[in-house]
Amino acid sequence: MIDEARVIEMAREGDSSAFETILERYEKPVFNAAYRIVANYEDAADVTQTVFLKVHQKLGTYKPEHKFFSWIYRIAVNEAINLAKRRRWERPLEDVVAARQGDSVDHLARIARDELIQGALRALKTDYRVVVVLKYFLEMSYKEIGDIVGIPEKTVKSRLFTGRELLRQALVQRGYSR
Amino acid sequence: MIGERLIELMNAEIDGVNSPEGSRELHEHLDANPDARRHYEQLKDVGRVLAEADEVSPPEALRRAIMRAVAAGGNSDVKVGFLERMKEVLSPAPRMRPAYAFAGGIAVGLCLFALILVTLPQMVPGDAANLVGTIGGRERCFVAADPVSFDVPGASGRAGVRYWAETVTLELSLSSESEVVVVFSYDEDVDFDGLRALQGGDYAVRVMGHRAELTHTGTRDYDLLFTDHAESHLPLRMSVLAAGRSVFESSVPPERE
Repeated sequence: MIDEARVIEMAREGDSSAFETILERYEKPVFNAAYRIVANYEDAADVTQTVFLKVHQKLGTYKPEHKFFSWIYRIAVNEAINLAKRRRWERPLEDVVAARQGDSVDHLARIARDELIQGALRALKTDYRVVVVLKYFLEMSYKEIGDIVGIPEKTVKSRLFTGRELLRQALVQRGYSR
Repeated sequence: MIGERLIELMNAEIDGVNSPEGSRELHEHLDANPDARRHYEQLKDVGRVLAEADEVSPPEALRRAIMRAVAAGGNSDVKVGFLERMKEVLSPAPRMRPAYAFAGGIAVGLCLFALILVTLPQMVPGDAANLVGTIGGRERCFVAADPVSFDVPGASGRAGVRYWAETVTLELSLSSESEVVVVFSYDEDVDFDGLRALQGGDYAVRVMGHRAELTHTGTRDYDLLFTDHAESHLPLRMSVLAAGRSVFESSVPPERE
């Protein structure tokens, strides 16, 4: 297996299969982070596509001394924030919930739970939502979140605490936490 | 009353960044204060519930679309994401390189000729098998098939498709006083890429295998976007359900009688 630094180097040199390897590795996490931030399936797909086109265009400017995932997530978060802010008042309900024919009751319950999570996240202001998503879905440290969002660790903590408190209230209200 | 210091200790504990002293201080407070204990457990529940969220799979066509756009030069003008692609397909190209102007002119001319051909009386209107193929590599040229109209108890509307090179756009106008579900089913060579509403309001879309279900109330227009991988243009099947009962079924475009 080729290490990531080599794959990035090959992609910078124009090797499209190397770029596809990067895409395979990061498509799903980038899509999921975008989905949780923009709270819309189609918008998440658009954000993901824009992110990888930018990654492709800007690979030459990437400095290997920085973590690649931080670099790619910074692009993703910025794109998602921009879109989430643009969409704030545009669409009240436009989710595509993935399901399959013949789904079990259990799977449908999972979809309902996902809708609850999306609803609670969507109710957060974008600034709080981004920090919550990076912390809980991408399991990042305060420092990593600060680097990606471009805010001090102290602000990360304060946004995370507020976001977590608002989610606590939302879950209690919906009977998911007692 | 839970003080600010205690809230900070709770959050630090949840994030695993508490010092041993901080952790001890927190647990002393929690042991002595049931309200604080409940609050702490509820904060921990946030992480538990979020951890239960399923990973969502991106659309199957996304990776291919990205690689295609990258191969085309990585220019965001040619990306084929849902919204961008919808804009790209439905609106004229914002910029045209002079080198392509001549070829573009010919393509537009051929396109118009193709449209005239399909509207000639001897052609069978709406027969997808007889539709003329698209011309031009950037999906600027389309063939519109006959629309389907319906006015049944509970709902009325109109659906029409346009066939582009690989893309099928379906324009749907729908009016209903109470909730109806419109189900589109399609062949395995067809992917549903997304939907947009042209007016606000409540609606929702679910994708289940080769079916897309639109739940709708009120009066609204929609654009739906599909990718057709088949060599011939495949019709879509549409059914309208009101109060759980099928009130209208048709293929779009309508089948030849």
